[in-house]
Amino acid sequence: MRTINYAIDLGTTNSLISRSENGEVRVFKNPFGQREELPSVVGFRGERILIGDKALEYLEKDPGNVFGGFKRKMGTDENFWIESQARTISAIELSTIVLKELKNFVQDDKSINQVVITIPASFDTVQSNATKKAGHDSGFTNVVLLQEPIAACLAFANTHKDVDKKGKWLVYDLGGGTFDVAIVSIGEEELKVIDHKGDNYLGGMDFDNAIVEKILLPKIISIEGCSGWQAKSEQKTSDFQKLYFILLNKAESIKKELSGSPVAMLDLTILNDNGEEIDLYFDVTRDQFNEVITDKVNYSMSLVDDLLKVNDLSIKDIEQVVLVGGSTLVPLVKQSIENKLGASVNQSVDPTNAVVVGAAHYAGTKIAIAEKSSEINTTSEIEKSSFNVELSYLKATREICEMVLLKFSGEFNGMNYRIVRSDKGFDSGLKSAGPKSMEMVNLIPNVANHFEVLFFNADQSPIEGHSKEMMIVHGQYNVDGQPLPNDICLEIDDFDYDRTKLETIFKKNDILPLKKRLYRELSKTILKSGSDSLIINVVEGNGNSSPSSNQVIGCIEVKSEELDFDLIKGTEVEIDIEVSESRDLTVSVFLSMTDQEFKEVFSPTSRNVSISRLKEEVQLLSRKVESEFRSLESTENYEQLQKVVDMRDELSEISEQLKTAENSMNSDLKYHLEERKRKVAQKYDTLESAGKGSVEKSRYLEEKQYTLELFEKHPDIDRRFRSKFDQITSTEEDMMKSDMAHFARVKADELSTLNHDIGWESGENVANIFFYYKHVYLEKYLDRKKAEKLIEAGDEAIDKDRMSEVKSILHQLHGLLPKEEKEKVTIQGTGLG
Amino acid sequence: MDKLTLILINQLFEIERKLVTKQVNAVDRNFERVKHDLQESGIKVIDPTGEKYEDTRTDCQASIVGDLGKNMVITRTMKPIVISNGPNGMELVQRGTVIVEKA
Repeated sequence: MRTINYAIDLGTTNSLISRSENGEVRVFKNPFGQREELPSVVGFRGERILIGDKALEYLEKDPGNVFGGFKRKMGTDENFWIESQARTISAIELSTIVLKELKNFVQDDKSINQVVITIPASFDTVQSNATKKAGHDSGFTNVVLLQEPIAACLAFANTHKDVDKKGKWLVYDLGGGTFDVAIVSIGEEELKVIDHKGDNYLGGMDFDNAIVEKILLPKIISIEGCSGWQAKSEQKTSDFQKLYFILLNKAESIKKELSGSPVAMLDLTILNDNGEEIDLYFDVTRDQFNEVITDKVNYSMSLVDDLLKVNDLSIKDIEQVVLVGGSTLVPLVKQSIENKLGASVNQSVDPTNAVVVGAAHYAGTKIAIAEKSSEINTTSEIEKSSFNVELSYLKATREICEMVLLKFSGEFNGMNYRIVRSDKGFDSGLKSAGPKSMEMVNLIPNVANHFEVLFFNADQSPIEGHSKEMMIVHGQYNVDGQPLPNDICLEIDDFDYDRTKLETIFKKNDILPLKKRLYRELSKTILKSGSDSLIINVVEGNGNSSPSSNQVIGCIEVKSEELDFDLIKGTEVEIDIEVSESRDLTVSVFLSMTDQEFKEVFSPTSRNVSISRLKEEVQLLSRKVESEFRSLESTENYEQLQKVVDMRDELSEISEQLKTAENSMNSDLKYHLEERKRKVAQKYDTLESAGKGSVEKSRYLEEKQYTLELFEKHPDIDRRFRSKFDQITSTEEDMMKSDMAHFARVKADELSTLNHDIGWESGENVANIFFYYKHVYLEKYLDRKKAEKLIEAGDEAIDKDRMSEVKSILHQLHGLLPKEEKEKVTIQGTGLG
Repeated sequence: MDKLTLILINQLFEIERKLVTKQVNAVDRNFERVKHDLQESGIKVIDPTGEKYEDTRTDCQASIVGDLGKNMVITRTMKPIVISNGPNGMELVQRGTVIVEKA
């Protein structure tokens, strides 16, 4: 048998919705702002209906169109006049709008049609019926009313099933703007509100105002040079109103802080009488806070006294005191009740949502009325909504807000639409549909903004199955912009494999202008007294090919003599790379260690080539060509061999000329040589790829398979290895499609290094490495005797499977190797890791 | 996003605002670095000061000072807008707390 399950606390200040799920209660959050409370405020601004937080902002400024506190008018014939629409609206209709909005909090169930709604104990029959009507008008077929104090008692009683529940309970409910106190009698089978009292204009907001008016403002005015605020406060100037809002915001934080700590610090920037900003820091103590709210708390206690007196009850007749409402978190409130009543004060349920939680417990036991026609209704809704809508908007823009045109056709009269950004940072509110409706939507800068367009019937009920999605990309993609013809990359060191590699900064077809900041670590120490340099080499071409086959478009060489101090390996380098629409490249390098900045603008017509870097590149390329020559020498592939010989000759020629380039009067020479080198590199990449592309791809797949096996074998291995694996394999699709052997090789090498690291960490490879150090290096150790002892200890540790000991022994053996064995790095590199 | 991260973001925002007012730029780079790292980890911190304010901006909680007008502008930001890139795309983690006035 189904139960109602859903409950709504339709409050004067805030409303909430909850659901009972197998005895547990879930209070839903507003998808806009993620708060449980929806302010019970409705606004009519232009064609828009605002509900909740947004409406609340205008409550004071636009009272002719924004309405709150209408719960107090339920069951009266008083209506509200909407100035912008020149019509009246009743409290029932306003409550209906709030109830429908609360239904939208429940995203996982669109068929809520029975509910428990709470009402104050003071509501008479007419007011109760008015609430029920609002419930029915908002689409609920079955509305069950429950008095708020009873709901609160249920929340506490269900949390503490072991507490003796019989007797009289006092429910003290101090919310944001209203106060109620009730006595509930709990018998064997019955909960009954005996009597109640309240004040509709007493609540936590009064506490905030008291902090501002009685503590913060007097303090500010007493500060030398700030007395002018006195006059401003009397005249209610706009400066003062602004300060008041800032202080109210601070007061709320102070109030919360003082609930848990005896002192709260105020940190505030204000303008003094001369218009200069000054910073203020001062403490507000709990005693000060208590002093300014005592009269209000005492007043609430006097209502408690009255209630007990009228009902001929004494303090000892009260078994339990239940605190409801956020303001009961204030220590003075709890303390005053404890002092007065001496009864145990129960604060075990969150007082901010106790009513809706209790109501959901009740809804979870209340049998739902069987529904016969809900399916038919749904069908007729869809049949009724035979309309079409066409959306027009720019898919990419650089404006911070963009226009969306909605063209409605068919039967759309009385319909509403609502546009919502997926992060919930934009909500058009409910707007009536017209043949051509227009909406300006706000965008988050530089990202793809997703929106959902929802449609509603005249009675605000959602029309299912018609929502539409749209995406507008802000910033990067300018439809009029020029795309980059090639990748732009930064050359970085890859010492593991004695080479440099490319890191793609901007991809081919990215739209200009482009800007990016990178933080990289130095891969080597650069001594001020040495001859090394840091090279920021920006190249254009194919990011998946080798660095030397790309064209250098900007290069900053920071020579050792330019440094103020030594640069130590591992310190950070900040690099800004910017390509303007007219293709000017700006590279700036900031060395955090020496606090030095190097900046250069490179235009496409003035390329910058570092001779030392070029020499090294030619050397590296010659080495690769030589190795290719040796592998082809024994084959009968004469055609390929001839190509390699030509390359070798060309490189030798370039090398020769480079020797004189530095002192040459011909300033074009280095550019010419760089271009020649690039052409050889491109030829090499093509030639090599034809023969080795598939080999490298197979090696990549083998390494990948091994990594997966290692993960399976060591499921608890550090997560960083898995994220590294994901990072390496993220380009797999591009790599497989590419005909660049270099690309596959770099990826295979990266996986190989990863496998090595996992092997080391997990102990998988430690034994193999040990045997390598034991046999291959035996003749090379500087202290052979010590090495033999270590090897002996290592053998024993392996036998006993003590891998961490073996690792330690390996470190010591490594230390015994001569320098040339330890440092196999032969390239100078760029200095960027 | 955990509460501590949000508290730290709000504090950094406040510190930066104070330093800008006092024209202290010695720590600009450090702030840029922090912002960069936040952005890289999918967190966008937005200061909407100076932007147009409309009813549709559910990314801000506004206190309106003075009269209402056609063009309303955010003149002060007490807490920035924080958006995080979660598993379901962009997600508003914190609404900005702002003061709005007639332009």
